[in-house]
Amino acid sequence: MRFASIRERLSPRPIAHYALLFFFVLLVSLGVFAALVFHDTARLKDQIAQSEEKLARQELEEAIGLMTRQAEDAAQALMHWDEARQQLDNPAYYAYWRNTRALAAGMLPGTESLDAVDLYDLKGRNLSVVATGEAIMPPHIATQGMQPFVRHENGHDHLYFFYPFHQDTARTALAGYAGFKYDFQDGLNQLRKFRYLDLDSVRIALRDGQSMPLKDVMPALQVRTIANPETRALEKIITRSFYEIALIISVISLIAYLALVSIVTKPLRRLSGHIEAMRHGKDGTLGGSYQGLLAVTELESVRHSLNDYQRQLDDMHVSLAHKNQELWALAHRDPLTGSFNRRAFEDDWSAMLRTHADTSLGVAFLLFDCDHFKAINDTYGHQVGDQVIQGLAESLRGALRAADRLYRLGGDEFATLLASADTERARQVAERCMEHVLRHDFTALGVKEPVRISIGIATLDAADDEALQRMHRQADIAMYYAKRPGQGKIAVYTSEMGAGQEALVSNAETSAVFEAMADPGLLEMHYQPVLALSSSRVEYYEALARIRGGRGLIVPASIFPVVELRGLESEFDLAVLERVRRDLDAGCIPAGAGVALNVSGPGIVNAHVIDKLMQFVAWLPEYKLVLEVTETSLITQIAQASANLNRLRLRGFTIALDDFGSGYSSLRYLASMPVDLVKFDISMVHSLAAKGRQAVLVEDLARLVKDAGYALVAEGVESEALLQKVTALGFSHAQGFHIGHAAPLATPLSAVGAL
Amino acid sequence: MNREPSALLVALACLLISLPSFAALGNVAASLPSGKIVSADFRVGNSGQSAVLILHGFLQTSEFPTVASMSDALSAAGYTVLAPTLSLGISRRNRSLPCEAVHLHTLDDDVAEVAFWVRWLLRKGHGSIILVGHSFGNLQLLTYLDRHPPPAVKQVLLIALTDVEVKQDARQRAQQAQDFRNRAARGDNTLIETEFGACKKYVSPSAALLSYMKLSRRSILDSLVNSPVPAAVILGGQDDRMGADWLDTLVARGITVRVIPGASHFFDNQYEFDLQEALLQALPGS
Repeated sequence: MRFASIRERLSPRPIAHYALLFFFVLLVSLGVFAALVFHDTARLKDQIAQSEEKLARQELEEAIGLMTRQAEDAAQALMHWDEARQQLDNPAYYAYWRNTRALAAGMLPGTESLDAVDLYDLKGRNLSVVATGEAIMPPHIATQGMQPFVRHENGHDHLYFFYPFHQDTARTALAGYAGFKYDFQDGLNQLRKFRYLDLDSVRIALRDGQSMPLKDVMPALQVRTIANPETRALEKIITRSFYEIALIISVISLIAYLALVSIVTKPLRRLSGHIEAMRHGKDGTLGGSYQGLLAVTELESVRHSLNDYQRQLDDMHVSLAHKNQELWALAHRDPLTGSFNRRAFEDDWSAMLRTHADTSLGVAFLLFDCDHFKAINDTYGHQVGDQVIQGLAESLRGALRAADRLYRLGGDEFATLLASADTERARQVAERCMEHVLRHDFTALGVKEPVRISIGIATLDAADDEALQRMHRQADIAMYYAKRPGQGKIAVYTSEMGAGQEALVSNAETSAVFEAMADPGLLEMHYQPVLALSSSRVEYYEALARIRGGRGLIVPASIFPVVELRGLESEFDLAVLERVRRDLDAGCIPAGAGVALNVSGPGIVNAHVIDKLMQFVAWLPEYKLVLEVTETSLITQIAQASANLNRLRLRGFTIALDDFGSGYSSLRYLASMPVDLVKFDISMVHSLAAKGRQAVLVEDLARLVKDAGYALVAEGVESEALLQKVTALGFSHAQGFHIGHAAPLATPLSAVGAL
Repeated sequence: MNREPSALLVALACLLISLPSFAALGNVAASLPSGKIVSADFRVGNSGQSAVLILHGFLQTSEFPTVASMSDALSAAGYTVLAPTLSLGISRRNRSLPCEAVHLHTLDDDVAEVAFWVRWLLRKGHGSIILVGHSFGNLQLLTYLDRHPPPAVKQVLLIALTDVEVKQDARQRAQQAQDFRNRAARGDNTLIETEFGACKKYVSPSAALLSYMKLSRRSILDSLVNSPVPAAVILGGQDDRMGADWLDTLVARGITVRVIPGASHFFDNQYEFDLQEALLQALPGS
């Protein structure tokens, strides 16, 4: 725990810090070692000094002992010397003898250190005194208890020895006394060589003339030792060796530090810096940072590993970039067309919002949808359908500016966002797109029908998060508006566009449609009378579905976009047929009249719908049953549709081609279809009211169709003049507000009555 | 043929007789009337043979090699040998005295000590005493003989007899003696350093010196000629301490002189035995 806490407190340090710490510890260790060495050396010196002083004192003691023995030897020699005995016997010429013979005769050992010799008579009197009255040595000595002593005289210490002088070897014949005087220091100096004692330093604390017994001298001696050259040399060697070692260690340490810095720290820093740079996203391999190899194998391995790692990382980055691009492409591109997909659209929209958060965008949203694509897909198969989609995408991309992106939002729905584009500009682009699609040769795919698109345009009213959804919805509404028969295929959203279009995106209308399909009783059928012009009577009623919703009546303009968008045509047809059947069962429809039933394109080829229609056969004897199908519904599965229509026709149904002129208006279809009635689209009928080429064309077309044997029904007859006109043109039937509004069951009858 | 075994027996007998003398080797000490202790090398010989007193040269002792050699030879030959060491004024003197030492002794003192030792022999019962001197000791013996020695003294042999006038002639010696006399007359007893005998620096008061100045070539020759006992001289052929005419002078005075050719004043080296042979041949009973 303790180590852990310490470790936690220790933050990582640069290696140079550790190196400096190491060298600091090394220096401290050296300092401690030096202190110990010098301390030990000093202690050793003290010990040696003490030992040498002891030895010096031993030397001094030995020398004094030698001097004592020398004095004893001298005394012995003196006693054996005939001349000395002669002087004791007859001291008449003692002075001469003492001055010229005593020391010069060479009879006494150690005469070189002997200052003086004197003889004393039995009373202790110096023979010199006896002889001449002068004495160098003490004139008198005590003959009892004599002992050597030191006397300080004239700045010198002198050592005196006195011995009894016996004439015989048996020492029985005492003849007198002998005295010897030595210069203390000279005597010691001549006695021997001193290794430890500095003889010049030998001092005895005596005043001039003061004496001290020899036995008391040693403690009173002041001595110094000779500076031991070996000790000094040893000390010098130790000191020099230490400094040399310290210098060598310091130099080695410095070199090691520099080497460490050079071959480890710097490369490590560069490696670290490079790794740091890599971490911050900078590029470049370490190989570029170094010319040549690194000195340390491990670092070189690290460098290689890092380079390899970085190369792999770079490769991985490249691979990842590719993968990202692919992924982005997969995520943002539509694999079929190569166009951007819905995700890209949403991203671009978000980016656009971020980029232009505070500015007015002026963005136009164009929504493209292929007309009757489902029918094409069903007719020619999915493969052709896909190719159609690809052709559409290609055409649209060709029509757009390079900077404009084409998004495939799903199925046959494409979109683009035009920045800095107003409504007029958006319309121009839409028209160009339309032209490009029209110019595209889809026949190469085997598609005989013209492939067309409807384009809804919405412009951005505000830059907020809801704008896209709102704009998309508006474009959607506009596009469905454009799809409506008689429209120009390009519609710019306006707020006036039917609220019914809102149903496409309204949950309420969608729910109502589903609920109506589940319970046809919720359907409220409005019947619009169709007037037989020849008899001026209502020959039948076109059953038009309404749904009674919670917020009121939902009209077909709101119902069928939902039905078509969600592919509910057959189901909705079944519900409507059921509702009409119930009305028939309920007798709501006057007998003798007829009912026109609208069946969708998918419904006409749906077995259930056909079966349902077959249930109406029972009413054929009493009611005229007209089956209205749009020409667009015949495009797909035309064979099956024709077969079913023929089957129904044979059973008594009248087949009417609805909305003729709003779609392809292909006469080939008309010719190949088992159709009895051709209902001219309201846009064509309205054109009759105008003067111009189109009216002529419609008139001629009406005559042509009539001449081909078809009965003609005019929709949208909203005036008497128009009624007259269509009547004149040979239309057999007419319907419209002038004749009667679509109304619930009771209303048609009253309307008929009004006519 | 029969004489050879008998000669051997005689020699063996002589050897056996001489053995006790070896057993009696040793120093003897005696106290002079002055109180000084003197010593001598005394070896007891055969009772029937003469006692020989051997006197050493100037300032020497009885241990002087020439003296010791003669003592050995004579003792071996059965003589009782007494080789005294003159005190020269120093009690218990046992070493030769350097020239530079203070010499207080006189010729009379020396002669008195010779007489002392003769008497000592007499007291020991020796009725026949032969005096043998070496070098300066000869002069002291001759001086002794001049002073009526006892009858026990039978013969004197003078080995390397010294001529005192080798370095100084008689006139010079007379002048010096006069000087000493003058000093003594003045009561001047200071020590004089002078050339004396073999000494270049002899230290002595004038009175002591003057005692030795009595000796002269003439006195020596007279003493020899007038010796109360037979006197013979043995000289070394190469003795450089003598004057060239010394031998002739001696011979001319009718003195028996035997010269050992090649020998020095001290008869050292191989001449030691020649001296011994000559000595034994000169003694009676040899």
